[in-house]
Amino acid sequence: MKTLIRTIVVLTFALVAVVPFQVQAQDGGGMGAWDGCPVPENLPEEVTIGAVFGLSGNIAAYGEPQKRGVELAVAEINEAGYLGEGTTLIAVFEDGGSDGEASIAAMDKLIAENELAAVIGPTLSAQAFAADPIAAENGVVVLGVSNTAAGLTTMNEDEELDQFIFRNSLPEANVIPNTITKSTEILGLERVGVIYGNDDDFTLSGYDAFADALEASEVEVVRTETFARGDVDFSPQLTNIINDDPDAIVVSALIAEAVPVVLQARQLGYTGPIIGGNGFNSPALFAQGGEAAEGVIVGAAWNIGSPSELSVTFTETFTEAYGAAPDQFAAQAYTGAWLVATAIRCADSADSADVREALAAIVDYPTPLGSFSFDETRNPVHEPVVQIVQEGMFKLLTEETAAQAFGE
Amino acid sequence: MDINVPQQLVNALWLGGLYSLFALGYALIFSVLGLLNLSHSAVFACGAFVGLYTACGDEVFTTTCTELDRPIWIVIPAAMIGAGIVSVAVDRVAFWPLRKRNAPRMNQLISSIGAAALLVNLLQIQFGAAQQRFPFGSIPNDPVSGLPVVITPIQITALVIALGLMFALRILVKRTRLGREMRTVAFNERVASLLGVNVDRTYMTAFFIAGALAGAAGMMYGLAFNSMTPFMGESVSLKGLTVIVLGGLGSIEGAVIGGFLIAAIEVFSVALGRSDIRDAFVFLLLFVILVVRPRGLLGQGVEDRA
Amino acid sequence: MTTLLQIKELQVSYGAIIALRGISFEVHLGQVVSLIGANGAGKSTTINTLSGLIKPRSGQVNFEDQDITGWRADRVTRRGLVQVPEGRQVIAPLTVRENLEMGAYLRRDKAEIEQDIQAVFDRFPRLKERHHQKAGSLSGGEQQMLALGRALVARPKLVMLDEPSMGLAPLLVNEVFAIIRSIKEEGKTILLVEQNARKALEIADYAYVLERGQIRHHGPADELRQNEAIIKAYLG
Repeated sequence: MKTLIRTIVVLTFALVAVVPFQVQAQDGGGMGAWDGCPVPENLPEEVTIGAVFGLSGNIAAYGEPQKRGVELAVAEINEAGYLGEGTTLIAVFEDGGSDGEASIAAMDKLIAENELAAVIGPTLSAQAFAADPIAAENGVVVLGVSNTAAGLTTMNEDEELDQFIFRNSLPEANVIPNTITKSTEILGLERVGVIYGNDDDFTLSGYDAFADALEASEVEVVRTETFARGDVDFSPQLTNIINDDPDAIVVSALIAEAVPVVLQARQLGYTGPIIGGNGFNSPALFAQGGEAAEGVIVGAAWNIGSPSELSVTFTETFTEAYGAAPDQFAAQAYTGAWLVATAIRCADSADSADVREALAAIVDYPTPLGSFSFDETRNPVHEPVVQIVQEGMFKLLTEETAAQAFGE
Repeated sequence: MDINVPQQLVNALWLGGLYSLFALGYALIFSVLGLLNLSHSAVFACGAFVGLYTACGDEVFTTTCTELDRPIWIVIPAAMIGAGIVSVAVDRVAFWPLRKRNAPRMNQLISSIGAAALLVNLLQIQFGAAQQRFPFGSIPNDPVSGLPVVITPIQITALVIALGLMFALRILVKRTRLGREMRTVAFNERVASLLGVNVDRTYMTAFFIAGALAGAAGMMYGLAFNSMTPFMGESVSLKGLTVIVLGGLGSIEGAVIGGFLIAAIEVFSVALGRSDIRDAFVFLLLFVILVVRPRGLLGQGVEDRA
Repeated sequence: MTTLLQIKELQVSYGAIIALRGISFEVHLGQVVSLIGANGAGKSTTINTLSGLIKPRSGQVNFEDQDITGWRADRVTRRGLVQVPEGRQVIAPLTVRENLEMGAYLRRDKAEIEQDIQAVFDRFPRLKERHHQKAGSLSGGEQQMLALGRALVARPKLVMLDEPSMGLAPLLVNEVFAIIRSIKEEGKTILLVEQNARKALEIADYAYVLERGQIRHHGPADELRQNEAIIKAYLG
């Protein structure tokens, strides 16, 4: 009898604790409203996930928002008791630096020092290629939240190892064709100039995707120019491209180089469309680029102007928490943490092998990125967007916004 | 494939001004200290951020700076003075203790790398890693009208300031008491002190001037490219080294000529359609010069530097 | 006679090696005092300690009744004790004229500096001819003249010459000593450190003989030249 009363009391508490959260979640359209799995019962008091982000050096411009995204998600998950009463999710961050070696070291350290349910990161594709195999060999599932290079989740010779490598960041290869098709259709592009960073996995795979998409859309590339990471002066390349009078300039660059490319193209008198890859999708484009950013067209996995309820809530909470608007990197990292938490919840286990199974099974999960699924190669499936900068904001690219921007 | 030669010339000319300005400080320290001060690129970044802070105040720590609090003609000297002070601090912390112990040059070189890392990290802690820029319209950005080429007021300003400072530095080193003093210390500290020179003060002065030049270069970069991060010195650092090796270590004229030469090679290798192997051209030239003329274009050997 | 420089019980050591074992001597105004001794006797150590390049372990250096023990080299020079270092050490990358201007580094009286530089040129016409050349391109003798000229331009109260004849051909040695004599005749006070004892004693008013960090003999130069022991050890 005593036991029964105790059980009832405990259950009541659990209900009281969970109910307000569910109401809140539904009201605000926040994360965790997904009820695909019941509240877990068998989790330990603490479940640890690791995160390897570039938190120092140039790359911290991406790593910092990623860290914030994960921190915000973890705080929400714990507050909501998403992993069950008495279970706390802990995120351990390691600085993955800006190269492969540093990420390998960070990954080694995380795995050696913690019992991990999963790892999120690393920031750059090149780092993921270097460090992900370590996680896989140790049977720890790793979820990339910003790696967009082709072939990431099938990098190993041993397919068994690949099973542990996931990403929620749409590869450039998925975003870019959509961007080019829509832009060509709306702007009637015939000839373009291309400029890209030729010493970085991210910008290189972006360039390849652009080149293929342009060919598929039968757009002529009149000139191709390159630059290196860390360059600040792009005037010579842009002078060449502008001299050829293209209908648009296509750019594959990280944000650090993307902004000066845009500024200098405008300075050299170019007023036409500038089409960028994933790297352009950051508030820094407006803050740093100002008026010059007007008319920049960017394909993206996520748009800060996206009208979906989860996206709006995320943007508001993030802005409130950090005093700055989130970028795509924050949104994907935030979503990544929720995906991992959901897999832990559904597996009702902190064992990484179980988490892996649950993660692979996620289908149509509502996130700020849209309705989210993993495909059979553990790549993300969700609808990308094509945006154009207008009046200092990303708007969806339409006949109307295009006409306003370029005065057809 | 036609080339817009006049525009590429403009591109090369003003980029050359920036490279030279940056390399001057390297050259000056090399001529006095006889060693490469690898913290120069960090001081360069400090200059840009001192400028930014002077221009915008505390705003820079939290958000993007949108308005100038102080006019640009105060901001530039402030950046120079700030970077000069940082540079003197680097001397006192990273070089002076080693100099007192007669530590090998290599130790001082390593120490300067440490100082660079420290400065960059301090900047990152203070200002964050994200890109910053000067407010829009800090300096007129519309191209000068009526010209067949695009050249902006900031580009002209940068070139004029760069050339002006180079000229001033040349006069200072070659024609003034301070210049003689620095060249004497460069030659032999002991002899200098026997002539009544306070050697420590000479070092501090030289570091201040080199720092101020780096600060000016940092400001010009910040204004012209509108992208400043604590790591902005990294890409210029190697260029600057190349410039002074090419021009002749410790030679003021060499730094200037080297700067313009490298900028011209970079720009025209791109103009000729080979942006993919631009750096290869630069380093090929460097290699050839080192083989044919190891002292650099204008270098006169260690005995004769400065 | 006014005592210009007074050294009391000066001790210097390099780590465990004792270089000066408590030496005392004086230089009077207008005198030429020679410090002679074999290689390694401590002559250069003495002069460099006086110049402030080496810090003494104990003892005292008084200049014009002011204690200047342990002063930094540039302060000592500012005080009026100017050293012409061993091996001449002209500033090779500077021109002859710039070297002389560096000699006047601490002076601000431009017009008079110019006069003094001209006076050096009058004394050493060969330097005048080469005033635009780099000092490093001069011959050994010319460099010694330049080093002397540079010291004179500083208008020192006391000139300290460290081995001025070292490494010079015999003919040039005579020339250098002729110059030192002419400087003496102008009334300058000179402390001359010299291995060539014969020459040093010819020119000096008073001399001290250093042996292994200690003063073994001292007296008026004329007397020391007659001293049997010294003749045997240094003049033989």
